[in-house]
Amino acid sequence: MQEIVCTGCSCLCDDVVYGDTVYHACRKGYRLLTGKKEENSVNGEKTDVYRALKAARDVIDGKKLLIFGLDNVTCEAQELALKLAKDFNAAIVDHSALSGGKLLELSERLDSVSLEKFRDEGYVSIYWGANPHNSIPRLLSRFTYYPRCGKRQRGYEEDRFLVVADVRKSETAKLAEKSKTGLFIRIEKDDELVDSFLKALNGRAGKYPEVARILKEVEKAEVNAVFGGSGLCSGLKDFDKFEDVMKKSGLYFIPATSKTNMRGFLETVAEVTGCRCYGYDFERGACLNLKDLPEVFACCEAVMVIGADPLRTLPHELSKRLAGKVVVAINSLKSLVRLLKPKVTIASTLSAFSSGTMVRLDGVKVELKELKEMKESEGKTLSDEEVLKELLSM
Amino acid sequence: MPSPMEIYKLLPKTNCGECGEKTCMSFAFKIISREKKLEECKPLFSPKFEKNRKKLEEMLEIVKKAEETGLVVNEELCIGCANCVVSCPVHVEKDPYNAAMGRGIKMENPILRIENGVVKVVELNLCRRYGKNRTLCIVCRENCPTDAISFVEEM
Repeated sequence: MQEIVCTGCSCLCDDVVYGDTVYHACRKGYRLLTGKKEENSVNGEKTDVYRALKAARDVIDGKKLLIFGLDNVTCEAQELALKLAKDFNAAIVDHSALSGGKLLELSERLDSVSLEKFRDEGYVSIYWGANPHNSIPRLLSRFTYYPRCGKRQRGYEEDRFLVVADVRKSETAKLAEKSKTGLFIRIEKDDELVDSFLKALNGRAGKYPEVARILKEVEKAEVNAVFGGSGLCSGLKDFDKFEDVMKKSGLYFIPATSKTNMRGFLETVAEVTGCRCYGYDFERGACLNLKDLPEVFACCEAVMVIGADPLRTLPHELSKRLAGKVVVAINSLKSLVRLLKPKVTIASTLSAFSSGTMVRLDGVKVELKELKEMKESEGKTLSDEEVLKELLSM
Repeated sequence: MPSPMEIYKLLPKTNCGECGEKTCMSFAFKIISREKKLEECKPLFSPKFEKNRKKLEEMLEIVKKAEETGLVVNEELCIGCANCVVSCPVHVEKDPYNAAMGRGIKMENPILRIENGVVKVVELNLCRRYGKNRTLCIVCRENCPTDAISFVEEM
């Protein structure tokens, strides 16, 4: 039995106990930690890791390469993947252009707060277009609503105020509606809620009268935050107005993106390339955005998938462009990638079991705890970092 | 979960009193609170009510699963968010530096614990609904976002 950091989502819970029974991990984390492990193969035939590595290197040599995924691997592995992309003049992207990237960009421009500080001092938490019960299941119980500590000793009944603004009554919204210290606002357009905030800040009434009560509650504490989810990101038209609300109301912003280390990827890309972007094409020396993805996916000759399942996570418009490409998959768990008939599959150690760092949704770096005793069923595999190091050194 | 009315509709509705209750409605309530068993309604076991009896037996399967405090956990609905574990007043008192603060519970035999991704009942004796001085605590149920937790007497 060992305490590990769960890499099931961007909450990076560091109290999960892994053994024959897995304690404290949510269903999402448990499924990741106990998922069926991938096997090394070349042309569909099982082989050892070194043959697979050699075959992978032969496959990518001289081809126009796209490296995709990387949201579930450590920052160290992301750095090596960027080095590989640079050496091969390849394009490299994760999922941030599709969802979450905009939220992370916003969080850099707005005041933010760590989850620990929010746990100790936070009062009003507003989930805007976010349903953490699906994406980050332990967020409320670990950090934002239920914990009693620091200045919040009296529990959620008195010391927290939960607001959910969403187009539908999600699980989190149900909790807010049931709670005496909670509010659910069913919104039609995100911009209308932004307008209501602006009007309420100026002492006028907007479309949503509940906003006045929220602002009153906000005055009761210093630490209050908006947890922006993908709903906010896709629904909001005027981001400047939203920023205005955040600044005038003194609310902190925390992006509720669920992809484990997306924040780490964007930071690593910025460090290596000097550009704040969702991906980079080293051949053209240009940043990649959402509109570039169809072309990038269509033009490449080989695709290296690292720690991702593009057939499950990408829209069909993009994933269909992977058909017929030479695929090298570096994955820990079995996934739908097999439907792309990858030329080479390299099984790597699950990031939760290896060492390295990842960046949590609030921007805090979390050190992973290497699993000391691998179960026999886990088999001995190289970590993503080691696989990429080997590929670079060949 | 069946309601007392749903149970009542399938009973003979003769108020015969053979079960010891004055009315069939009262018997329906007691079936749900597990004070009475279906077998105590003798007319129900006559061929005339065979269909109804089978339906009732099916309906009451879930009541059989209920713990002594009336707690029923539907693991299929649970997502392991641990809201129930962290909000439980007993856990807050007995494990103030872990469960109360949102971390994985460390007390030896908690009432509830997240195991293999879902909530499991570990030690029911500690629950405030258990024993002589029980109270009608519903904190775990109230904070379950997926309705995976319920209590039989509320049906």
